[in-house]
Amino acid sequence: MSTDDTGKMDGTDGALRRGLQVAPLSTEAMARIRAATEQEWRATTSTPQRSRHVMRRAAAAIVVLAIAGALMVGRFGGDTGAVIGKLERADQPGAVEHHWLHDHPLDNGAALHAGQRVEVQGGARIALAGAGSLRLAPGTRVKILSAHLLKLIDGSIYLDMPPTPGSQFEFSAQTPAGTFTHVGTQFLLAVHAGQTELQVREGSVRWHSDKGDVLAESGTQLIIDADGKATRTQVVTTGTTWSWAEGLAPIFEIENRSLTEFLQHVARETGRTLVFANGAVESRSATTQLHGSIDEMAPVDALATVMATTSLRFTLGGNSIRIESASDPGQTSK
Amino acid sequence: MLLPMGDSTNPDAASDQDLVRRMLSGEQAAFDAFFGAHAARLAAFASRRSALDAAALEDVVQQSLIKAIRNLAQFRGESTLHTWLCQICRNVLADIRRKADRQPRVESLEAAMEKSAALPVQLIDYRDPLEACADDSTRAAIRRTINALPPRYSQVLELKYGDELPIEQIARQLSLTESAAQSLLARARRAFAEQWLEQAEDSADDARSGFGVP
Repeated sequence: MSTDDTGKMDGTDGALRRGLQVAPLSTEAMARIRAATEQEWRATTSTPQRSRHVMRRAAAAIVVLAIAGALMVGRFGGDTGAVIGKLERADQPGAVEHHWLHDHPLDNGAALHAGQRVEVQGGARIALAGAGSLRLAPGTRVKILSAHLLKLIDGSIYLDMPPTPGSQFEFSAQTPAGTFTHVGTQFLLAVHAGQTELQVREGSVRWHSDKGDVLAESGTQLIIDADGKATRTQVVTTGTTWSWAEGLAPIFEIENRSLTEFLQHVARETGRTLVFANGAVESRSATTQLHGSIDEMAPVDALATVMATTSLRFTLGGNSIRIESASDPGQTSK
Repeated sequence: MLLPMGDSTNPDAASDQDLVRRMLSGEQAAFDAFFGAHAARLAAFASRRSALDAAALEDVVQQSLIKAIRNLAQFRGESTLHTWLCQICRNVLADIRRKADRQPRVESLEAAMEKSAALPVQLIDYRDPLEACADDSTRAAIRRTINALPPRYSQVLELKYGDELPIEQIARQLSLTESAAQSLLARARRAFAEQWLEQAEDSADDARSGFGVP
């Protein structure tokens, strides 16, 4: 190697390039990074000015969760990222946070925050800090990327975002196929061996990939293979497909709630429509006050338990829950 | 002539602030410009400073950009936007390294070997050691040579040969005039060549005297 007076150096440019140039990330990886960043940007810039007082209250709640998160960091040495929510339920054998060499168990009530890699060994439910809940099937692995976004590495998740007037909380899940954002909805998303499956139970879901956006409506199933090829079919919104998610439904506090509120909860959780036999039954349901507890009971089990204490009875149809008077002749329950 | 950082005459600072302002107002074109200008460069920046595999590198870049987006309103234009992003990225990499350091020192040989493939290298601002590629001794030797240069030299070489920026962009990035940037680049290149030659001669001497090859 030598230099001359003009500053030209034999081999120097080549050596510098060899030392400093690196292989770029793949197009797919960059597309995923873009989708996640854009999602965060949209969530950051879409905060409505008119609801600042609501945001202040939400911020206060998040601060409380963040403090809990900070305590967890001190205990487990995790990241100090934004809080996505709280682990409300983790079925045996529990949930763990993956670290470089060790896994740390996560207790119920643990705040979950950006940067954490979580695996649930039994089923689990996360109460999202913004709104709604996220359920994880046994064996599911996720990485939390922000307060609004997680990466589904493997397994199945179920997002339930109850329709709340004025709620603009955005939440998305990322898979190898792209980013899936709820548009007021219940949906199930699964990743197995690089294949992504989306099943929309209620509302609609926006699928964003480097090929563009697709809106999937209620009753739609999208199967996207590892090469990005998508197949759209129909899916029923009741039945065994949803059983594991129903088994992880949030606790519905029945104390001093009306029977109608409880029935609406069960109908939504099981993907069915609530039908009253007549006006008198509907009125009786609305005025019936409930007492007691149905903690962690599956919705249909809870329905049977609660209805047994009333003067009404129910029939489960393919897509409906029919409520009628127990004294009506010729009717069968369940 | 060296301009002070954040000088209002720095056109990049003004355009960066404008870009950030437009992003904060929700302008899609601004986000597109932001991502197009910075994401791939940030990935290269992180890659040069770590030995992470592609999946882990993707996570680092994504985390860095998400943190940047969340703190976008804090960007004051005191450095270029890219420098600001690089600092966030450094912090993310440093977090990974700190986490790795907290792990127990006693471990199986098998685990240690697996771990060594994933750990980032030591990180020090613009003197970041870049000798990550153990399987590429020449590249590692080149990076060691660059690391041994004054920080300003290694910085300008990285912008030129790593990011392949044209001289006008390098000048803006370093808050220099184009002629000053050109001059700095020439000095840096010459210093590298001298060090590289010296190292090659030392290696040859070692080899002749039986101390091994680099």
